[in-house]
Amino acid sequence: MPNIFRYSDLSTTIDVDGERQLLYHIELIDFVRGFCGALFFALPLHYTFEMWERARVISNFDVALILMALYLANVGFVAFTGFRVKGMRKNIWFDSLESYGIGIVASAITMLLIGQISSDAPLEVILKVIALEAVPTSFGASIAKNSFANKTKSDSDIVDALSMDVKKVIGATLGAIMVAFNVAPTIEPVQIASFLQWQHLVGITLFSLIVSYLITFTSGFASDDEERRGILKVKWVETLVAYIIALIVSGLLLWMFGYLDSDTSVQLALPWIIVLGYCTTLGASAGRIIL
Amino acid sequence: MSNNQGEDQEENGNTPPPSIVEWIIRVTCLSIVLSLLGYFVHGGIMSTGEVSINIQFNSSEAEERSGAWVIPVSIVNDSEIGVQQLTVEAVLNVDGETIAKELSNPILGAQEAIDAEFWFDTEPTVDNIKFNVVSYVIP
Repeated sequence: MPNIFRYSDLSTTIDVDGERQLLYHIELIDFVRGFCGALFFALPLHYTFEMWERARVISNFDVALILMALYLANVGFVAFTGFRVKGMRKNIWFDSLESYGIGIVASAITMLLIGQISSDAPLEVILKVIALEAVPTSFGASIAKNSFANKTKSDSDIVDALSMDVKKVIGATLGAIMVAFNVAPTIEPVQIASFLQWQHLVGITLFSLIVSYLITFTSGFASDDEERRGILKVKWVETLVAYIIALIVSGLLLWMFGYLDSDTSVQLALPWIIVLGYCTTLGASAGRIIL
Repeated sequence: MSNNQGEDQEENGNTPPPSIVEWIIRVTCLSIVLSLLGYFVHGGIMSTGEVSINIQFNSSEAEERSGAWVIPVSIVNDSEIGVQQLTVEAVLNVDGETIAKELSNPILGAQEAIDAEFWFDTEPTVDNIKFNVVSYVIP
């Protein structure tokens, strides 16, 4: 019977696409991929009022049952896909546990940033919010390979003919719209922005940029055809451009759904755009991969 | 527990065991999950299932506003379960005549508190006003 508690030395390397890479480095990239996948998948529900309300009335036993069932569901997801590109290193039991943990942490960070966790709220309500939000979030981690692993080239000749920069700009725009469309019509972004302090807004902006960078980092763009890459060759430039696109899309969506107009002051509009911009940033980052 | 050192075995058809970094992640995730699960199981066992709504009123906080008396109250759910469609009433007794006003709140979570206001035409005191929970729904 094999000892499942064996571990490798930090100097252990594995072969990844013909290149020797440190094992723990690959494991960290897998973990980050799971984290990004979790945020991407669960985003609409993180911003949904009904989820927070449900957490205030659900019983302890029901939450415990949900959490136990959640683990089994994650085992199923991981068995079919998972967040590791290299299937040989997949362990569905431990990976499901990691998806679970990732879901809880990612939910807690997001709830904190959007003000749903505060010192005023009872601990029980806070933990229930995190536990319920961890359901879709852990699913996102469990299927992250589908969302953020390397993709094959597009089947479209038109898309293939475009420069890499144009593809990324279009991908970012479409991705931002696709993801944020679930959230933009609702009153929540405006409500959230109305009670946020400047610290929250700075936190959301920084976290948006970090997540955007992480998504780019785990997407495998570094191995793309270097000759076809232009101004967006540098990752932080790409991250910044994607964030600017995300903010523009955020503003346009708020205008489309009647929240913004020419009479809206900048002081009022900016927090709304930044809060919704968190959604559009994730969409813009993922859109560059999808396209 | 054994330790696998050195180069990769994947080329030979063997997968190297996870690194210590991976094990730290696993143990951390396990701790988080078990802590959260343990909290809810413990809370479920300890819960009496009884609802206790407490309405707190400080007469010194009552104030006259727009020709009426505004009575700020704090409605606290002291129980371990949340309630929906909560209705509370304030009954003011003035010269033998009772005047009742009701307030409703769609959701009040476990251990949660909300601030609310009752409006009366007469100045209230601690002696002539009473608060009651009229109804609620346990989800």
